[in-house]
Amino acid sequence: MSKRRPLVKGLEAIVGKERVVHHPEDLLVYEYDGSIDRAMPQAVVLPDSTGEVSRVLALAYREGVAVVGRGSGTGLSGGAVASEGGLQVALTRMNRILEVDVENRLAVVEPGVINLRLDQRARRSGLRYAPDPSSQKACTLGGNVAENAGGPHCLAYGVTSNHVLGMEVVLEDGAVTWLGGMERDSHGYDLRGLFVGSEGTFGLATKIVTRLLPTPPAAKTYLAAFSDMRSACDAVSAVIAGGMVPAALEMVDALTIRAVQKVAHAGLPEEAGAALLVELEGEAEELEETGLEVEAILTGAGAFNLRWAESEEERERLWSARKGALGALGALAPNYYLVDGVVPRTRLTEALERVSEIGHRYDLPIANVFHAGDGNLHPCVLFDERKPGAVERVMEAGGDILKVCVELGGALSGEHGIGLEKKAYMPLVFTGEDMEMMKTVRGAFAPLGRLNPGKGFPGGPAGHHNLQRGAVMAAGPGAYV
Amino acid sequence: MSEAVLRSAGVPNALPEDGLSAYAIDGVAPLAVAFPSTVEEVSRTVRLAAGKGVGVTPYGGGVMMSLGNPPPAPGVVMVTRSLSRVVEYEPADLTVTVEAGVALAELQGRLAEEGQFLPLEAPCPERATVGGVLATAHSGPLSFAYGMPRDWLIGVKVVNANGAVTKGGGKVVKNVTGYDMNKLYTGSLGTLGVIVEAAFKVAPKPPAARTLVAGFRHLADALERASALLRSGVGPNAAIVVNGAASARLGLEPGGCRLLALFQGRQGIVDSRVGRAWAAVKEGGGRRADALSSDDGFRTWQRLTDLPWAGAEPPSLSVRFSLLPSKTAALALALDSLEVPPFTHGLVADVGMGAVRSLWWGGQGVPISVETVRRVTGIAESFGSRWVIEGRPAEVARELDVWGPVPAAMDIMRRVKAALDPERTLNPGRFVGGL
Amino acid sequence: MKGEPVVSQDAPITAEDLYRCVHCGLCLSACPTYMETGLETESPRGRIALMKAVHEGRLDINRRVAGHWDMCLACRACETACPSGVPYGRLIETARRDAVEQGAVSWRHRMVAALFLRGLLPRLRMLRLLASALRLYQRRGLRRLVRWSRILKLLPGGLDRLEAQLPELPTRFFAPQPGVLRAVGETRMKVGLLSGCVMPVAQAPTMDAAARILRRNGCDVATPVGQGCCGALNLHSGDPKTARGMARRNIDAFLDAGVDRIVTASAGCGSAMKEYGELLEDDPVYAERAARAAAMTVDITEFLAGLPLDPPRGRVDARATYQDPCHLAHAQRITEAPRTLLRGTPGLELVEMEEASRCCGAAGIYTITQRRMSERLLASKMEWVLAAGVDMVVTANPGCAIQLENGLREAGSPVRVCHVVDVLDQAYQAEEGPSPSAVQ
Repeated sequence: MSKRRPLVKGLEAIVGKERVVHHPEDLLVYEYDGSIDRAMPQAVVLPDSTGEVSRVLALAYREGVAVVGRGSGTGLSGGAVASEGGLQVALTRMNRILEVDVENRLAVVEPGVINLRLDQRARRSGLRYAPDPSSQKACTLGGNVAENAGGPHCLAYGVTSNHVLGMEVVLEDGAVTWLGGMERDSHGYDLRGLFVGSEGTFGLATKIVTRLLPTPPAAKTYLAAFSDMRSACDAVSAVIAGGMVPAALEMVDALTIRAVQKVAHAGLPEEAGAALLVELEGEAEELEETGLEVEAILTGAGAFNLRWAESEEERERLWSARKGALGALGALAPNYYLVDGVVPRTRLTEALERVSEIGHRYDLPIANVFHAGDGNLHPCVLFDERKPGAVERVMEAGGDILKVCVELGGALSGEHGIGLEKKAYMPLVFTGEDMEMMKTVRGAFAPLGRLNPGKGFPGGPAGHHNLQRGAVMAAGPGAYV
Repeated sequence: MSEAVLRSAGVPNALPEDGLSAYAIDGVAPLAVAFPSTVEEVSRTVRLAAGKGVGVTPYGGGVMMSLGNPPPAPGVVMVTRSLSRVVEYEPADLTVTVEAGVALAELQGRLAEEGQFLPLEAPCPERATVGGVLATAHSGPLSFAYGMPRDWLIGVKVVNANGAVTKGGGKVVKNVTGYDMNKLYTGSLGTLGVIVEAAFKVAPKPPAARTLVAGFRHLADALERASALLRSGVGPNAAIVVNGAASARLGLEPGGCRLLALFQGRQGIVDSRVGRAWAAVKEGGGRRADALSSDDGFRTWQRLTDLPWAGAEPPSLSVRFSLLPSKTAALALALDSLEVPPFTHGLVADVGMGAVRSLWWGGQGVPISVETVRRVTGIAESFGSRWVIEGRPAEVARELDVWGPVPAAMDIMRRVKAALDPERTLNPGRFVGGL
Repeated sequence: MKGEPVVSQDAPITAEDLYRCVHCGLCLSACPTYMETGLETESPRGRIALMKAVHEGRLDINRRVAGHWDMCLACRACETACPSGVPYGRLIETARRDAVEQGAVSWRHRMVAALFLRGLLPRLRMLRLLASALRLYQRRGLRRLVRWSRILKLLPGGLDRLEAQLPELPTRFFAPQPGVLRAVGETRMKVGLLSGCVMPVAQAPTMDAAARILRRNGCDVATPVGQGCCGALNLHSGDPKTARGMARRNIDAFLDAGVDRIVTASAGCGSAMKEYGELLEDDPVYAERAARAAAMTVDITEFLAGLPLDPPRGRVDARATYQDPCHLAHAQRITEAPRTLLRGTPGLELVEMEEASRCCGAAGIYTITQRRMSERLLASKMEWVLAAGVDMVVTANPGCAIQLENGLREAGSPVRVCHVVDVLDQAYQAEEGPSPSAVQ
């Protein structure tokens, strides 16, 4: 903390007083992101240009201060939480869409641009930005790049890394360089691909070149209710096995349906045990054909109350219910812990049954709202953090869920990142040598390891929720294996 | 050091000395050729070479070995073809895991049994291995619609320079667990690790495919029509323009340049799109068109993919340009105006991807000169294009870096190489900037 | 049912309300001050985090903390965006009340509260007197003299700007009247029209238009004399006590007038009156009456769009865009009704501007207490209005109208500002031949 004054003075010299946050009461609002972990930075700076970011990072480098990038702070793995203190660089003011190149179907944006704004801007020219995380109306593209964000439509179109062509990045010491460019193929190592999903540990992206796709001429969105999760999962398998890759294939369970209905009244069938949202995109005549097939498959799998959005408004409503589902859980419990595991699609039913067992075992309600089409589970463990011991129990339940995912051949995270949240579980998936290799790569970008330190790999201090479960952490990563 | 030393030290299934020259790269014969059949043997070979201070060049089907700078010194060539198991294929998951030595065609055959395919292409796919496609990040006409190898690889296992076997990704289609090492190894030409196993997501095979082939009097018209088709709602999955010389080598009927457009999907929709596309092509000056069936079309597309690398007569020089799609037509036209007797110049332009290949055949015994190569690559500059020389005589490659001017992030690339392969064991000197 | 107001204990911020916020951040992009500054401290989530910290005893309310709460426009766009249904409006009002009680608000805020909120608003006669004086000032060349003298620049608090921003006052004010203005044709129902505080003096013609349209559509219109200001501004700035007194007065006036609906042409007032039930829920005497009055309250656009409206036949030839008043779009969730009315107006071409539901920066006394932020928000709004290429920007709230007029005047733009009812009234007035609307 003694270093705070010279740091703040230096920052103020670069960006001016108004864009440096350092009063303790103001820093309080920078201790969280959308996740469960918390920690307070020493200062927050809001640069407005690549030059400022570069000078800020050079200053932090000289002062020996850790740097944590931050967009809108909607992340769910603690990526933007300054778990080891240090300087938070909030890129929210760098929110300009610099170029939309219709002919080459690409856009150049600053990292603070909100995902949905880019999509809206692109749509004015008949294009779109495909990755659509559920937080898309608030999350930034810089954050999307850091976490390699996904979203419902990634089933058909791929995640962030499939859509980023190049980036201007500022490295640990303030040096500025370009990774990739505007072409589809790479020249030399595919460093842009490697950078995407590196959780802010390699550098800060200050310009991002993204691909834009043409908007499909037509879309058809179905909502199908099922009596239970099993039949809904069977329907998912049947759709995939039928040779169809819908634009999106989303599932919500009974608990989520009730929560969403409380808040949004999106017309989800309240008596259902599960519901599927299936979106097809393509030409109108194509949708006629595939639509009939999908209807037959869904009905065959036991769908009832099958209906489709008759208008764009209805489609929006169905989607807003899906995208707001997470927040709607706030109506059921003050806190939720969202686990982001992945399993092979054929193991969905088994995975969900075991998740449900875990819920019973820990006596915690678990809601499921997830990207069924690519096996990306989102079990939401509901709890009240003010109840003593609740956080510890939830964390343990979350760990058990991840173990199930790995046992079934899956992974720890589909789209939220490892961050603070899941770093202790990395040994479930990777060997020490695997992780050493990853850290070696990180060392090539950030030799001192001062960019978002303590993220992604076991060890190091955690946010305060993790500290609360000190006993568990102290047992070391082996405790989870 | 002799190959005998390496052999006695345990290079798996080493080739006898008289066979080494068959694996020469740019005239540099290896010290030894290893045929490991297990990951452990790959690891042993790498450790062995590292211990002796010689390089290891991974070698798949040997189809694209002309890509890269000449090896600075002889080393061990490691042929991965014996790593040929399909490790796991779960059609309902749309994922497959294979060892790196599996030939692409073999994998496609296996997938086709389940009505699926991997949208990657390679020259001579019966020989080209999965590992080779990944190491070179080879992309073909389907990339416009389906993306590149990096977009389909979901998990990778490699042997690193210290012999360690490490992995990245997994076998699920969506995964952000750990850094995306898949991206790092894809296209790194074996300089950071030897790919020994790869997991892919795969796609359902479109039920029908037709290829529209239209002739044009002028290259400019063909290029313009190709862009227009891609912009229209007709939706070809690939649109490639070839000039007369390239067209002749595809076995198409002789006469002028051609536009090839691939349509895939349900039969009825494919037919209606081909119909609409044909109308649009005619309007734009297209003459005489064929709509090739699925099989004929497939053969044509494969010949197109083979063109720069193989076939009856591989080109003396082959340069690949990448640039913004909007500038592709202009670059292709500028290249088309080049004349270097006695060479024949073939052009293949992918206006959707922003990729142009300039292929030079013949020469009647006269080697293509460095001057000519500079003239060809020199055109890139005014279009902001990058270039890489995919095929060339060894003499040319000794005179200039076949990868062209180094990228902006060359510094970091050097740091990555130095961190992962400090002894420069893995395919040293052949990649961008001498990595 | 009148009598001494019962003083009720003000409820503290409840944990249930606070912890409904799961800090997901989806509100951020809806918040005008966050989008303007990029600062989490000026975001709904940040303000709630501060409330939580106070609630948990980690933080005392000081000037800095209260400053962030004060920077809030209370536009409640975050409520529309919130997937968890956090009652942000209620939270910020309570937080501000706590800040006021602990003396953690700025002198500017206190001055405005004392002079305007507690001084003038509960005493509309005073307000009208002041307005008359102002009108004299504006008409008699005095203003030119004053501006020439630059005397206002010598006064603190940016009074010169305030003076420049005062709307040109109409020649006649609107005032509540005893009795009822009869419907034209058959009477469908009896409505009470809220006259409010600023509107009858600043926008009297709009009030007249509202009454004409209601009568034209089968309503007997009462403007009960006992009514006053709705109390919204007091409530928003942390003074629920004064607000309750004002609410009781209006409840009495309208319920005693025996109307079927209470119609308001001001989104801010409508939103406040619809929450009278909550405001007075702990008042044993008024709770039931307050709930009844709240349930009867409708915004005039909502009311008209819900009627079988007698469609205007006259034309209003103009290209127009609609600015959503925050208290209509977010607090009352009414966005379609005004647009439906505008689209039904012959000759009017309605185009959407960018960010139509983003606050213009008016927000009651915000223009005075947070002048700089208000100006920044207005500047952004002007960009979007001008980019839409319209002749007219239509809104449904007096504060927004004044703010937009100021912005356009400063930008030297000829774009006009109208209330939705002004547009409708123009269309009715433009009908040819003998028209039933030729009343008054």
